[in-house]
Amino acid sequence: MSRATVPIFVVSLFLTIVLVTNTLFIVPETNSAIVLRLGEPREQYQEAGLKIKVPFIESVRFIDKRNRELDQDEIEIIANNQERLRVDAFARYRIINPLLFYQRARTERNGEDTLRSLMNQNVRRVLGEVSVEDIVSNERASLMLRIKELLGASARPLGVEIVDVKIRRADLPQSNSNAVYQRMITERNQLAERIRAEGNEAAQQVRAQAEREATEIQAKAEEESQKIRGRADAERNAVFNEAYGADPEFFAFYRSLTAYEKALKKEGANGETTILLSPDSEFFRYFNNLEGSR
Amino acid sequence: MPWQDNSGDNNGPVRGPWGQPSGKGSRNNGSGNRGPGRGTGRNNDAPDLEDLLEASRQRLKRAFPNGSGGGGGGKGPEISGRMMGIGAALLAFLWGISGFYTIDAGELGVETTFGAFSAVTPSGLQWHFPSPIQNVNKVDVESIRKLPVPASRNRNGGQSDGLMLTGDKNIVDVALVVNYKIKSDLVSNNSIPGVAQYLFNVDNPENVVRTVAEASIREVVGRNTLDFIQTGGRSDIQDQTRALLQSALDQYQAGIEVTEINLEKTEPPNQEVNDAFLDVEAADQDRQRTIDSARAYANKVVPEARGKAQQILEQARGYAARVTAESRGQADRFKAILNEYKKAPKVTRQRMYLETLETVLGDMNKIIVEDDAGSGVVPYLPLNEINRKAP
Repeated sequence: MSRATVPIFVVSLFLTIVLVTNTLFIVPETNSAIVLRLGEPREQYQEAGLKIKVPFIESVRFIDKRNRELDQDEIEIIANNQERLRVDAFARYRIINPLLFYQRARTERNGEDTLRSLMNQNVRRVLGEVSVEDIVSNERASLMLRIKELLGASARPLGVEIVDVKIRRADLPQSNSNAVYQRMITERNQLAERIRAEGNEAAQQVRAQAEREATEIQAKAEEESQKIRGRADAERNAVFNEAYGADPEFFAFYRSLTAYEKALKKEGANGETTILLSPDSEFFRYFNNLEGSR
Repeated sequence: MPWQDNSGDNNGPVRGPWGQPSGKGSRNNGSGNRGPGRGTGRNNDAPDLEDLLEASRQRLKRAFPNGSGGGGGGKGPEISGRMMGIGAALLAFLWGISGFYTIDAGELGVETTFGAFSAVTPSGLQWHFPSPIQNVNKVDVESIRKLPVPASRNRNGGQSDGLMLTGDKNIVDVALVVNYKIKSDLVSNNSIPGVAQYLFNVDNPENVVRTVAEASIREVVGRNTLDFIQTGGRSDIQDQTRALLQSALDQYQAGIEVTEINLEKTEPPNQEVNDAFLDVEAADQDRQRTIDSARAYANKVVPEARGKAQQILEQARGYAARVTAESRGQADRFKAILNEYKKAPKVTRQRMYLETLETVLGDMNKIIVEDDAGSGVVPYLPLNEINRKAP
């Protein structure tokens, strides 16, 4: 080796490095790559790894191949029952054909703008055909699927696969919301009233039942009481009949005397009762006649 | 490692694979501690390295006593070539040991070879071909990440961001927290492991969790009624939301596992509606209170009636006892008198009659009228007057 060897070595090393860095390139997992020869796409690499290109005249463009979000601004749609709904939907997409995507859209931003307007059309188209109820509850999943299919079909020429479309929000406009609030309040008020009325109803029922029960208990007691009294009266009669039946004539006499005593003497104590007596009566039998009249 | 130059993982085409550790410093001229010419050897953590450096310094001193580096040395080119060989070997060695790295507990390392995913390494000391051949990303796969949905409580003018329509077209204010972690299983069927999915498949994974969670909770709430959401349906809602969110994340191959959905609140949308809801609760209590007081009344009335019934019965029994006793007494008395009477009927009868009349007539006003004193009313007319004046 001569003295010139070292500079030559340095220069050649430098050139080698420049050459190598312009020939080899790394495609990361998150991206795919397109090789452009003087601006014209020649090759696409979708697998990650170390790749080779022609140095200097070929350049590389990387395109994100991950699952990306396509967020759409909130749009107001009119459902088929003329109700308005504010819908905020988003799509998830992947660029599956970077070459196609590059040819049609060049940059990701540009491509997203195109996708966004496609999505806007499809969301309006699909959701405009159904009612608000379907969007909010019944058909949500299948509507999202339908938008996904339509958008997927229109996005395919861009080299884009639509992974998913989701309705993030589907809300009523403010004025309709207020109507809903009013309805909710009214419903709750009605419910509260009904609950209170039910309470009163149940309370009345309990009271009435208790009162009926009380009356029933008393009535039964009354019935029993009358029976007892009746039996006692019957026994009394039986006892009297048995006793008085022994000599009815004497009973009449005895009972009359008792009655006189009771009936006439009661208030006669202070001379309220006045009696007219005939001297011919039995009491006065000896009054005018020593031997007794008759 | 401190000397490892990892800058620019994804620089792509500009950086050649052998670019950085160039021997004569085409780019690294100024960095000093690396070149063979003036290596100062700051690496304290590797003693054998120190020795090597020391040795090389000795040689360099011998080779270039004037101390000038690089190609300027005037002496034998053989020595210079040998030096370069040694320098290259040294560099290769340094480069090699810069491939060691540690993965902490709860982390996984994801190695890429020339950008392409090659392996998942578990925690511990690991080695890979250093940059630019291989790179490693460390990912925490153990800690649970919490993501509140909606992120901000208030949007335009006090309106909550969590307002959503229910299946029965009411509006409810919902807030939830998504707990998720990066999948830690090392194998996954028909795809790369979860942690690699997390790194490579989805753009901004946290945002995915947030937006899909928002869509999922609205879908679930939209399927259910307000009553169900607010009362018994809490855990159902959580489960359904989790299932929807997880299936979407699995479909995206996001490498994320949703561990839990926590419904923090399901409230009426504003104060007025809330008041109406509270009134329903108050009504419920009112109802209970009304029923309770009716029960109290019932509990009072029925026993009272029983007491009254008992009283009626006892009265009747008393009456019965009295009536029968009286009648027996009277009957016995009559029988006794009858007995005596039968012994001397005429006399007894006479005596009884007179005794009775005696007591009866004793206290009375008596007017004795002749039978033939005249018929008609006249004789009786002033009777009461007489009566009054007589006593």
